[in-house]
Amino acid sequence: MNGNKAWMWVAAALLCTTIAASYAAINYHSQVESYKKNYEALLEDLEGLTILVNIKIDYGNGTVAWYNETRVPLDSTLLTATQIVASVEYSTSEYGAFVNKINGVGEDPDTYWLWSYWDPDKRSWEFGPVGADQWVLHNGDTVSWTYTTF
Amino acid sequence: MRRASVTALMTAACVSTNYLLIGVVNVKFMDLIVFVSGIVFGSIVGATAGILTWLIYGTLNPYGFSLPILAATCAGESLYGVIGGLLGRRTEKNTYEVTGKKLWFMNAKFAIVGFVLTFVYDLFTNIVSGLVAGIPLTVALIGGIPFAIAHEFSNAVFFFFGASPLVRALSRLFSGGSA
Repeated sequence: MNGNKAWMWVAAALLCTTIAASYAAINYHSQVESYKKNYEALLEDLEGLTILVNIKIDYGNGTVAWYNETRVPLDSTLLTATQIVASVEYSTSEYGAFVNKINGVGEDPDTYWLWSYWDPDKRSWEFGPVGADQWVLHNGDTVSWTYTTF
Repeated sequence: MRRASVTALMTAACVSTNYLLIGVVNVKFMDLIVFVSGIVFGSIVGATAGILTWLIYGTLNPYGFSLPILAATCAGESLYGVIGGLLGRRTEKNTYEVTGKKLWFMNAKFAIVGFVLTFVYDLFTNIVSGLVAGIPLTVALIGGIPFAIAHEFSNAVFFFFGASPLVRALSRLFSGGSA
């Protein structure tokens, strides 16, 4: 009889832990669902305010870094977009911004940071016609920085 | 007469501790006090203390008043008193005077009873709240889980540490007799 009672209490204790575990699992699941929903709603809002661009940085020494699908604010210029993915040192003149260093690389004799954009119609890289601070990016644009010698 | 005064005393203890802990949602000594009242003084005193407590606390409550929910909480709270009374009737008076390992086992049993009773209470009151608010039952039950967890765990802890000392103290204070 005593043995039966002991098992009954053990079963009751297990019931408590089952209830607690189920509660915790359901609670976490509903929290995850709620966060997921909030995240998706936020992303939807963000998509109206941002664009996705691809940025390539070629350091000229064999190292090439791609920052694909980088989310940048609407109306971002190449300069501000690059500043999102890398540390940029630049100077401004009447012709626009001139990038001196990207991620600490730059200012070697006769070597400069030049930018180009990918023309999907011509399927080729085209040199940037204006300063990086004047080139406004659009959704899906692909741009490139190359550290090159003249 | 004695039963009435004991009921009033237990109700006062419940109401005062409820208002004391009003900022801590779903963590209250009331369930423990009602349960212990049932053990020491019988189911009627326990259940009455629970119902009276809710009639006061549920009416003068900053979180609002709802008659169906008040009825549900009264019914749910009385369960602690009734089960406490049934447990007290089935148990020898000297059972609560144990020490050492036996005391730990007894406290663990109290914690289990407290947890299960609170689970039933929460389930019942959440269902009623859902029906009253007109929200789907699953939403009401899932939405109530964080509060239920706080309620059930805190009660398990309170019952573990508080039930046996309170039963012993009240039994001695009131000469151990049923009211």
